[in-house]
Amino acid sequence: MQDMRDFSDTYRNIIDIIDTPELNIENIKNFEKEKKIVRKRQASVVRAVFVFILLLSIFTGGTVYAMKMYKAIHMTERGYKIDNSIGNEDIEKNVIIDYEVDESLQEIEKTTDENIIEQELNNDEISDFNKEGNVVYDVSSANDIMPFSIITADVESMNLDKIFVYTPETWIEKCYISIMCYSSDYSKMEITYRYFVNDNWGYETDFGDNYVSTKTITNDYGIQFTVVEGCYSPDNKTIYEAVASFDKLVVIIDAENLKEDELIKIINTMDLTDYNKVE
Amino acid sequence: MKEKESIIQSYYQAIYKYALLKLKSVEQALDVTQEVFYRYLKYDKVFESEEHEKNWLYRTAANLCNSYWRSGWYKHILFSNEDTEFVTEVTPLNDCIDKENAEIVFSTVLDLPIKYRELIHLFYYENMSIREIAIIVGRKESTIQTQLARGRSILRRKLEDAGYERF
Repeated sequence: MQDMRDFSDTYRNIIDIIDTPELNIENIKNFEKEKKIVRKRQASVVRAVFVFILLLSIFTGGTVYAMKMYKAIHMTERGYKIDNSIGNEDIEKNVIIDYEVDESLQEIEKTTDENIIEQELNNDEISDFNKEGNVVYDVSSANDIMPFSIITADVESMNLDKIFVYTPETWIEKCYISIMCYSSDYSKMEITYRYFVNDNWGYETDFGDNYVSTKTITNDYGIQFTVVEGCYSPDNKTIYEAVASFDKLVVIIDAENLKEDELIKIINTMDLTDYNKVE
Repeated sequence: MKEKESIIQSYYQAIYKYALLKLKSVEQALDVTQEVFYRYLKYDKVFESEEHEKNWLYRTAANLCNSYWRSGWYKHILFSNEDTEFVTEVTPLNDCIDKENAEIVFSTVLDLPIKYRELIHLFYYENMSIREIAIIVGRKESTIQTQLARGRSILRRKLEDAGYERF
């Protein structure tokens, strides 16, 4: 008991000497006004934060929209058009690669002028495909720029039952489609090379007689490619069935005019790490 | 009004110190004290007795402190506030005869859990009875007795551990 009395005395002494702010009755009377001022300040801070967040959202949204617009305009200028109005938003991720053509290949451009005229005559067919619910990759205008078109796409998002690469029907007789497939995991590139329809690189095409043969090309970067080459017709499902086993594909339209060594040259200059950057 | 002002004069320091011990923050204690007496000035009912008036002031202070306790902002401030800094901030302990023991006592009380700290303060500093404390903190008298005994026990042990010489 004695010890608590000692404690009590010591404690009381300490509390007694605690500094107490001076009493101001007027301050107490005006306490409500002060509180109102504080509340007003708090409200204005909350308002400011809200406006800031709102502006930030608008700015961010606007920037994203502007980037999309820029991308669309940029691609249109280059002669590419991706129709993804059907609704598969993932298709937007599929990137058309701005692939620089080797100067040695520029001469080929001259030979494709006829194709440009022919494909313009068949625009109606493009819209027909759309009505059927197919996503159409219209690469026809690409030929204004270069003799062949390169499209990369994720096979998974393409939904191969509904998507195919469109080229004008009248063009088919002259058109070869080469499809190079590779996995999305570039470090485990274990794909063998296959190609369809025509085991000759080039000019003799047999529409009705599709068959498969394989061949492997290892490019300068040590990556093995599967190249699918052949003629295309809308009824021909073989190509889609074949590429479905791969994660990615590169489609080169109108490879007819590319000789085997030219195509291999393109493949050899492809560093797939660049695709990573594009995606 | 003059009567009320004299009451404010009488209890101003006590209420401030009570709030200070509960909240361990000078600014918050001052805020609570101002609000207590502001409410007191606005309170238009007649108090039954002086004791009733005193209990009303402490009870209001206790409730306002508890409101601060519940706010997340206060908890944040509390954890960032070191007791040792607080002791030197509010008390000129150099004025004490036995400075070393005074520091130990004050730090030990501040270190107690809030439910014991306020009981120790009201009992040993304000000299309140168990019944008065029960009214102010809103607990049963038996609970106050138990908690006060437990608080004392903890206090004694902590003071011994801290080397308080009187024990």
